[in-house]
Amino acid sequence: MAEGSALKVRVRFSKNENIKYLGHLDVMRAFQKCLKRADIKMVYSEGFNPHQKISFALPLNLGLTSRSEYMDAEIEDGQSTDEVKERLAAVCGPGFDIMSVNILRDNAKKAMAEVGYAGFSVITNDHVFTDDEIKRFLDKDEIIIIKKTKKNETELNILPLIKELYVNEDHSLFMKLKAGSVDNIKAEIVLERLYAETGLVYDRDNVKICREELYNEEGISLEVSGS
Amino acid sequence: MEYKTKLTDKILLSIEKPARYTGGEVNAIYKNKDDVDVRFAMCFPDVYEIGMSNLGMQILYDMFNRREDIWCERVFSPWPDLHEIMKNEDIELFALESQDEIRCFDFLGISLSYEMAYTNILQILDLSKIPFYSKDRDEGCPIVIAGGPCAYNMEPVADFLDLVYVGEGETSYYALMDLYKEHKEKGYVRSEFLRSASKIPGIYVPSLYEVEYNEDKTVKSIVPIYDDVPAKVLKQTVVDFENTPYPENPVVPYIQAVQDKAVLEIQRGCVRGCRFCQAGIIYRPFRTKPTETLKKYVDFLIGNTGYEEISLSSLSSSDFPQLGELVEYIIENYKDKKVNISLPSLRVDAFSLDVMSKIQDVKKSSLTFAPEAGTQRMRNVINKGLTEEDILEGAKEAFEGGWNKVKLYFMLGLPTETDEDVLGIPDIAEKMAELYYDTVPKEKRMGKVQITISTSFFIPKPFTPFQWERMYEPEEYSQKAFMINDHIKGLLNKKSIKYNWHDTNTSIIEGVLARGDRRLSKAIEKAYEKGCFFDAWTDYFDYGKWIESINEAGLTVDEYIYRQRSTDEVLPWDMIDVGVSKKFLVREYETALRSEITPNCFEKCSGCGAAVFGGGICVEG
Repeated sequence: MAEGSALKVRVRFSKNENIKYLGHLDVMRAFQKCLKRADIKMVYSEGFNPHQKISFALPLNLGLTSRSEYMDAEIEDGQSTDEVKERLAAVCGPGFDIMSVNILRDNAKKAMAEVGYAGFSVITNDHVFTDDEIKRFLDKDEIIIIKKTKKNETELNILPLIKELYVNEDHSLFMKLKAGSVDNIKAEIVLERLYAETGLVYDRDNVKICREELYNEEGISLEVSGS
Repeated sequence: MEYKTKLTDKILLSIEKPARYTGGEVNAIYKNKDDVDVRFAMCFPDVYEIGMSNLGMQILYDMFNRREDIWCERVFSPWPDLHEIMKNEDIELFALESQDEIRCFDFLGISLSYEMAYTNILQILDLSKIPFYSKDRDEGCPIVIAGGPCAYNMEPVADFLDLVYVGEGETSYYALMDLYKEHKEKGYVRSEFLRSASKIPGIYVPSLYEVEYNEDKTVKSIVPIYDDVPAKVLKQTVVDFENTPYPENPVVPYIQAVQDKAVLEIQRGCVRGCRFCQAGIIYRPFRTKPTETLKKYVDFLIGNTGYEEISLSSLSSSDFPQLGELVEYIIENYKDKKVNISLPSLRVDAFSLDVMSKIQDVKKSSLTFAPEAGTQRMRNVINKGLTEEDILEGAKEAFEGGWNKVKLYFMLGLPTETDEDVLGIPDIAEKMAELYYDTVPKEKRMGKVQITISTSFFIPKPFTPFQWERMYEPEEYSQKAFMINDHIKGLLNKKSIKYNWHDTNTSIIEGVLARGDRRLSKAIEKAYEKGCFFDAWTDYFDYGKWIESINEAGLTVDEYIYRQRSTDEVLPWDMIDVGVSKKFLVREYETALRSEITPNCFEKCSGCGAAVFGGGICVEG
């Protein structure tokens, strides 16, 4: 394939309830197969074992659903984004929804490199948080967690990593957290601490967490940030 | 379609690979349970990644679900981490699709591919809250039916099973389902259903046969307890193999299965007649599919699964007449999609090397030879129609073609084996290494030649000419392996030769179960109660517990495997008729002991008896 005849696209897809236990590698493998079933003409790497040029944004923790999964793919030119979306949607299998396919500009950074923040919605079935409870949580001087690495344990104040946290009208929570390869905080950890600080017992079976959006450092959705 | 999970988020987050238990894969089949008459839970009693790699499962899943009145779902063994949780929290085993409990199904079908999965049958029954023994089940229990390669001698687990399907699943299952529906309509009585099922070809109902033993504990007789129950059960064979349905939309696992590729069965059966090989007898006669049909299946399989690799499956790929044409078709049509081809069980010769150089990276891949025995005499005994010349010629061509990694497979402990035969194994490896340095000039060598020898211990299997043979004791086996290991140390090219050998203890238990009788069910039950399961996994296999269990059941390993049987002894599997006659097996056994070979089915018909099925090579020639 000659240089210039490739097209870079970003696919936004959801990961629904029934496949929330697929790991990141499984999702990657699922899309490798999905692209083949959809008969999308892909650009392949050189070498004896050529592979599709695809990459994914921030891995999602097991057990979370998502409406903001992103895959960057290099496809052969001459295929329209509508056509790609339609074809993927037809064969992606139960549990994935193809939400959008957008062309990336030539100098766009990879989705993974762009991630700055992640937004989560949380349905809490055992407690309705009040604005006061949230305020008290956010007004604390610091909330320290112990981060374990292979070598040692370090203390980390998670408050600066919480960009937004509020109660939605339907009583669910929304939180926008620092995300990416440098600073990253898991939604479940924030949630655990919120329960604890509010004097409640956290039970994983009583919450449903969905990653609603990934943003770049400027707060722009990854869906459009590369276009 | 609504997807649900039986297990809570908390449990799923606490176990390894939770997606093993959640279903919902691409091409998995969901139906409304109220719209079907029969619910069938198809079980492979091992972990998901192994079970999903089994072709028989995919074929039957597809076959059952083609019928609107049947919903076939899948169930696998929960891995020990989940097993423990299910026991502690009293959670019942469920099927992947509906996540409904197995107990509410009409059938629980268990695929028996290897003897070491027998304790996992009990795990499945235990977690499903179905009584272990067929005699203890009532009308509210599913019918437990087993099939697969072990179903040719299922006597050690016969008491746990209501029905056994002997042979290829494509022929009689629909009739069995129809019979079940009939019984359901007229008022279902379990015992009546089992009795009428015994009249369906290939269906063996263990509870309707009485086994008597001689004083020396050998089997005296196996006879039906009613006159209308057939004395012999004929193995089922697909005669019209060309047109038999094959899954065009196989389920594609999300988590990586052992076989992470599309599988196309190109032929069934084998013409070779290796005397240790059970598959070579029980899948007779040899049948192939027309290349044009197979091409269509290639298109379906790749198009509907998106796999990057397609495997052309058979017992001996080189015997497929149009292999070159088929491979060429796949390369031509799928090179843009970068689809790889894998060819298991290929003989190494000029043709196959040419094919392989097209489909794989010569520098990285290794070539596999399966001489199975170290000397020509020994290879004649096992009827492996391969000479040392063939092997070395194949190796020479491979080295010239750029390969420098070779794997060699052998068996140890074969009938009539001498030290010379054992030492012939490393000698072939040495000759191969020397050949490499003679063949490939220094400047063209990509480092050293790497030869890996693997030996497994010979286990006599039912329905083979060696079914009467004794096995060696573990120490004798180990001695043979050490002998090879020591011999390699003295070879010129010892640094190029690596040697691996299989665990002896697993082979002993497998040997007992393979040719066991009904009395073993107690031993298997005891083994499970002591915590044995996943015995096919080295980490979980506990030889000590097995020996204890066998002894506690009043039995010994000796009587099953260290004893030479006479050819007129009644064998526990004598009520099964595989088409191939006992007369032929005896003749083959005698020919083997004379170190003589028997021509393969292409060369000459040996009158084995498989012609009774009226199909395949027996008819077409």
